[in-house]
Amino acid sequence: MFLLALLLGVFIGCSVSIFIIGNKVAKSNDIGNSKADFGDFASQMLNVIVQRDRISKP
Amino acid sequence: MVIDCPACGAALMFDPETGKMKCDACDSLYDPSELKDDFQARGQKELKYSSFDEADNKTSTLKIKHDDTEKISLKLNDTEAPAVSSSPSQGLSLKREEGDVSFNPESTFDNPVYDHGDEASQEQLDLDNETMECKIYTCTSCGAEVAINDVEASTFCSFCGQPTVVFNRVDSQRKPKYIIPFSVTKETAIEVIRKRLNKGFFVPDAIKNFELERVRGIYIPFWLYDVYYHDKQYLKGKVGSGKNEHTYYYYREADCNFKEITLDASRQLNDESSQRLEPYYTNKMRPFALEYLSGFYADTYDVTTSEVDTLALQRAYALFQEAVNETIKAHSISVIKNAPDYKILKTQYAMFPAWFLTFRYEDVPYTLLVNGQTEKIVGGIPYDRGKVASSFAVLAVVFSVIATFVMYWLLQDTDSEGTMKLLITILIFAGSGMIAGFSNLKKVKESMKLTSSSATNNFVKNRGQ
Ligand SMILES: [Zn+2]
Ligand SMILES: [Zn+2]
Repeated sequence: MFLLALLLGVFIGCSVSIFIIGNKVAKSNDIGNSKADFGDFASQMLNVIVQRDRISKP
Repeated sequence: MVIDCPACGAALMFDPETGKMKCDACDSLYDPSELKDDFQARGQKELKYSSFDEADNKTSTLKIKHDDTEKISLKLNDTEAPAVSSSPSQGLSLKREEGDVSFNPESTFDNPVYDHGDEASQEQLDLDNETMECKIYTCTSCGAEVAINDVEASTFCSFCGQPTVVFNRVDSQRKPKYIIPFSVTKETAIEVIRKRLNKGFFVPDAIKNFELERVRGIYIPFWLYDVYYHDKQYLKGKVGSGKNEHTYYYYREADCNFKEITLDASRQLNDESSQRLEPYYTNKMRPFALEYLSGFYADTYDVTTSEVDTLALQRAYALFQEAVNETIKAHSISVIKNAPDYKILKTQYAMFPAWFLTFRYEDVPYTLLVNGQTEKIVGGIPYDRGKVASSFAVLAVVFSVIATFVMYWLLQDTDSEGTMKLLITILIFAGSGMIAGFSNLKKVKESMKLTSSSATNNFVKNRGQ
């Protein structure tokens, strides 16, 4: 039982570490990886003319 | 042409700090617009500048065939052939990278509705991908012969460094309508990069103390698109997760006016790089004047609007869709049916400023970009592998120990359905966390590739001085 716990534990430990390291490296070294978005180019908000939610399958 | 100081005759350069034309020799400052009037008052000089292509400037034109470098036909005003050694032959790689268009809409944009505003037709331009025009001009300061390619609008003499605007005053065809002048100085560009790199935990020390191989301020040509976009869409999306996940259908009709979507008009500069420089604030644009170019490099466009139309519409579509999806409270949203209707309302041509800073790391050149208006930095920096490995090791040991105890404790109670569910949920979260982590690392590597790409490096390197 302990062996299984160790196996799963190491898997989880490594996964969490990779998640953290990946984020930190991106934050530290991937500079300016973004583009202009909707607000930068649209002169006003999106003008929604008709809006219908949860309709039957078209 | 050299924009010279009315007081002492030395070359004037545009000064981002004051927004004026500055004389390094006598420290005089001039307003660019004021100076223009002055040029017109001194009509003689104006005449001389506009005759750039005439014999007094010993201009030569040489055409280089792309497909066959042996066939170099020279059309010279001079009897003697100029030294072609310094010709920017790398400018011959004119193939536009198309791989970065990842979007493939249900609707195709083969026949965009077209209504270009005031721009002149581009058909007259010789934009044959196979040939490149190259001009040789004589420096008015030192007399050296300098080769410039056809898109360059301003440069520096490669021998004495004199700032030279080579853009022909009479070439109205390639004259931008607007310009955002540099407001970030070279010193500021270097400073913001140094500060940013020092903050990066995984930036190697060798890079933190970088020695710049090259720093160049370049005006990049851009097309600005005004696009009207309207669509009626049936969409589907999912709500909830696991057993409680349901698919729902939605209908949206919406429209939007996009103003001045920026698309770079330079064949050599990678689209991905130029898009990362965004946003440029177009409300700070000024009517174009040659004076702004003095002291910087500048390129005119060599990608026509007809080549960019599709890209502009694709961007409009992507932005539109993003906004539509935000009105739907669901995940995994996709369009199942739509009827888009769009119109290009206007295209305008402008030049935007950017600093390009090149340093070497492990013998690979990396070129960082700084938006010359906003100071936004763009660049993928190599990471310190040792630091990444040791940080990972420390974290992995700590989290593995904790997780092992938690798992051991949960496994005591395998009969309970709730515990098993929790265990599986934890494992799924861990798995997707790992995937997210690797995908972030992959993104950094892609950015590094872009920053060290020879295309970007050559864009900066292969010009004048
Ligand atoms: Zn002066
Ligand atoms: Zn010179």
